Amino acid sequence: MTAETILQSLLSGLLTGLMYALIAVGLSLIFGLMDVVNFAHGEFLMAAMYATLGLTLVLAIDPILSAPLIAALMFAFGALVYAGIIRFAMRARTNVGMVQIFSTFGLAILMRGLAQFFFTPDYRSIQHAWTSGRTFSVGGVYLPLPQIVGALVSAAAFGGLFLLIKRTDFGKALEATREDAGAVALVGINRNRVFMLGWGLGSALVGLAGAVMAMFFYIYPDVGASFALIAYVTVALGGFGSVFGALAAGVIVGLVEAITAMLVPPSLKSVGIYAVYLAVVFFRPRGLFGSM
Amino acid sequence: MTTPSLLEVRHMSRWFGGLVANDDVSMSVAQGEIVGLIGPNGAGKSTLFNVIAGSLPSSKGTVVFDGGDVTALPAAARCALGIARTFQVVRSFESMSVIDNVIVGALVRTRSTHDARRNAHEVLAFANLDHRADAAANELTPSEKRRLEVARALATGPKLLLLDEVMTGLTPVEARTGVDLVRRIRDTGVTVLMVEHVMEIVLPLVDRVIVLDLGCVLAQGTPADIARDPKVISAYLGERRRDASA
Amino acid sequence: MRTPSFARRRGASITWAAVIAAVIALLPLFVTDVYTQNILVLTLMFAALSQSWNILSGYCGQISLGHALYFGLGAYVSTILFTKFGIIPWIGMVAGGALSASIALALGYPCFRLRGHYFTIATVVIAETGYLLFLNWDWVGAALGIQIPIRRDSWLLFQFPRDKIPYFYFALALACATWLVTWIFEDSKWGYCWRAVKDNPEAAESLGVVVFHSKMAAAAVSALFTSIAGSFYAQFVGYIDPESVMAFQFSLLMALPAVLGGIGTLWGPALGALILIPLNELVRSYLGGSGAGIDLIIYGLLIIMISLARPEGLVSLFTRRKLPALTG
Repeated sequence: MTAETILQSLLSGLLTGLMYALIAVGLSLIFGLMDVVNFAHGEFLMAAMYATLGLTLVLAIDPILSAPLIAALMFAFGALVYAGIIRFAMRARTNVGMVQIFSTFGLAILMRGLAQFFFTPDYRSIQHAWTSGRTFSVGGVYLPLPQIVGALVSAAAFGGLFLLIKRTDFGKALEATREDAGAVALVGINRNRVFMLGWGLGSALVGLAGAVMAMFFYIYPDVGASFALIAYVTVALGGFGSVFGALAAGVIVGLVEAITAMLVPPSLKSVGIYAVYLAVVFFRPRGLFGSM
Repeated sequence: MTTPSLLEVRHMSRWFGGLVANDDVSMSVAQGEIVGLIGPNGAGKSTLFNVIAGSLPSSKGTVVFDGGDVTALPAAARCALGIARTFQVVRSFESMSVIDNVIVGALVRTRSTHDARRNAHEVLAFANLDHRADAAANELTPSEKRRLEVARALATGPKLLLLDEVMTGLTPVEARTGVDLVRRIRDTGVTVLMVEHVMEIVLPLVDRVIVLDLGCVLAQGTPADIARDPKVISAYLGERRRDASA
Repeated sequence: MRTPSFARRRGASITWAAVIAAVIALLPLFVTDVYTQNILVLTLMFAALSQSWNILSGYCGQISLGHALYFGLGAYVSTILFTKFGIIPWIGMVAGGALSASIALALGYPCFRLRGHYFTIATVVIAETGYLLFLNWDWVGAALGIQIPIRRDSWLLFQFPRDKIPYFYFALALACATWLVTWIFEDSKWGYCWRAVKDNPEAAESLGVVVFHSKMAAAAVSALFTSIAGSFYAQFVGYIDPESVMAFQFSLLMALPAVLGGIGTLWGPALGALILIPLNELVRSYLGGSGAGIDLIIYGLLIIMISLARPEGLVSLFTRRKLPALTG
C-alpha cells in the first residue's frame, strides 16, 4: 500500500465525510430545535435523489443546476410533513418519544413503499451529468469530480447555515426556540411557525445532499436505509442539536470509514465507525459537542 | 445536654468550574428538629440541599448521617439509610396513579407490594390524599401534587425529610395545611430540613434557622435571633437593593 | 390493604389469559391447513417476542432497536451446539438464553449510561456490529448460514419435518410464559421500579430505586426470552443466516406489535401481534408479487395512523381506565 493510495483513500474519505455531514446536519437541526428524531430522514434523501433523477430525465437539467430547486422542493415537503404529521405527534400526552419514533418510522415505510410502487426496485443512475465520469487530479491523486462538487456544495451549505443562524432573525428565532420553546411565545415568536420552517430547513439540507449524491450513487427505494444509520450515528457522535458537531462528526466518520476499509474486508467497514461511536458516547454521553 | 446530631455537614465546599456555590459550609441538624434553610437568591441553598440529598457530590468535605459517613453514597443509598427529599419542581410519575407513586417510595422498606400498598394508603391518609388514591398523578392540582411529593418521600420511612420550597406559591389555606402537615410529620419522629423563601410561613414553623449567603453560612439560630441579626438583614436588604437597581 | 378493585382486576386478567390460552390451545383441532398453522405459530412467536421487548422498552422505557442481536444469538447458539457438537436444542436454548442475558448485562454497563436517543442508537449500532461480524464469520457459515438437518419427528431433538402442531404448542407456551412473567412483574417491586425509572429516573433515585440495577434486570429478562424465541425459530424453520435472524428489520418487527397494541401494557404486544402478523402474511400473499411496495404503503399508513391516533396503543380501546399500567 503506497503513500499515494493511502492519501487517495483519506481524501476520498474526507469528501465522503463532508457528504455525510450534509446528510446529518438537517437531522441534527430538527432534533436540536424540537427534540424530534426523524426516522424517515434516509427516505427524505431517497426522495431527493429520485426527484433529481426525474428532473434530469424529464427536463434534462443537470443535477448541479437542479440542486437548489430540489432543496426548495424538499423544504416544502419537510414543512408539509411537519404540518401533517409531526405537529400531531408532538401533542401526544403519553409516550411522546415513542410516538415520534414510530410516526416518522411509519412515514419511512410509506415513502419506501411509494418509491417501490412508482419506480420499481430497480437500481438507476444518472449517466450524463456534467460531472459524470470526470476526475480531478491533485498531485498524483485522482478524485472523482462528482464527489468533489458534492464536498464543495456541502462546505458552502455549512457556511450558509452558520451565517443563517448567527446573522438572520430567523436564525435567532431558531436559537431562541431551541433554548426555550415554551417561552418564545412571550416574545412574539410563533413556535409552530419556527418548527415548520425548521423542518423545512432540515429537509432542504438533506435534499441538497440527495441532489448532489444522485450524481454518483445508485438510486433505488432502499438507498435511504443504507445512509440512515450513518446519519444517525453521525448526529449522535457530533451531539444532537449541534450544527458544528454534525460537520466535525461527518468528517470523522468519513475518515474512519476510509481507514477501516483499508484494514478489513469491505463488508466490515462500518464496524470502525460503530466502534468509534460507542467509544465516544461512553465517555461523553452527549456526543462530542452535544448539550441536550 | 445537647441532643445528638442526625445530620452533620463538615467543611463542605462545592464548586462548578470557577464558580464556588458552597464555601466551607458546616451545619448540623439534631434529631427531632425542624430546621429552616434560608438565604437570598444565589446563596447556595439548592446546592447544599442536593449535596445532603446525594444527588450532587461535594467537591470537598463530608456529610455524616446518623453517625455514618455518607459522603460517597449516591441518592438511592442515602434513601435506604433514611434521607428522603422532595423536588422543587414536582417530579411525579405521570403515567402512574397516585397510590402507585407512593408505593414506589414504600418499596424501599419492603419487597412485598401488598405491604407497600397498605403502607402507601396510610401515608396518603396522613397527607389527606387517600381519597385521590386511584386518580392518575397528572390529574392532581398543583397543591395536591406537592402533597403527593411529600407523601411519596414519607413512604420511604425516612429519619430525615428534606423539603425543597414546598410552601412556595400556595394560597393561605393551602399554606396552613402545609404547615400543619410539616408539624404532624415532626410529631411522628421525622426530622425536617426545609429550604424556603416564604419567611412568614417558615419562621413561625421552624425550631432553628440556618442562613446562607454567597455560599457561606451567614448565621444560625432561633427564628427570633435571625430576624434581628444585622448581617442577615443587610444580606436580604442588599439583595433587594440589588434587585431594585437592576 | 389490597383494595378490592385492584385484586379483582388482577384476578380478572389472569382468568382471561387462561381462557384465551385454552381457546387457542384448541385451535389445532379446527385449523388443519399448513399455511394457516404457520401463521398461527409465527403470530404466537411474535407475541412472545414483542412481550419480551416490551419488558425493557415498554415498562422500563429503554427503547431498544437492537433486540435482533439476542434473537440471533439464541438461534445461532442452539444451532451451532446441535450441528457441530450434537447437543440437543433444549440445552442449546438454555445456553443461548444464558449467553444472551449475560451479554445484555455486560452491554448494560456502558449502555445504560446513555439516555434517550443516544441509547437507542447505541443498541442499533451494537446489533449491526453483531450482524456484520456473523456475516463475515466463516465458522458459523457467514452469509450462507447454517442448515439444520431435520430428518424425523423428535421431541428430544425438538424437530418435526412436516408437523407444525408441536411448534404451535411450544410457541403458545412461550407466549403464555412471557405474558405470565410480565403479569407477575407488574405487581412486583421490579415492576414498580421499572415504571418509575421510565417516568422519572431522578425522582426514582431519590426514592431509593437504584436505576442502574432496574435497567439491568429488565435487560436480562428481556434478552433471555428473546433468545429462547430465537432458538425456537431456528428449529422451526430449519435454516438460519444473519439476514433472517440478526438484521435490523427483525429488531423493528419485534417492536411494532407492542407499539401497535400498546407499549408498556400487559396485552398490547399480543394484540399487536394478532393484527400485524396475519396482516403481513395476507398482504404478502395477495399483493407481494405484483404490487411491489403496496404492502409497505399499507403498513406505513397503518403505523402512522395508529401512533398518532392511539399512542397508547389499541388496548386502550378495551380499557376504561387511562393508565397503561395495571390494565387487566
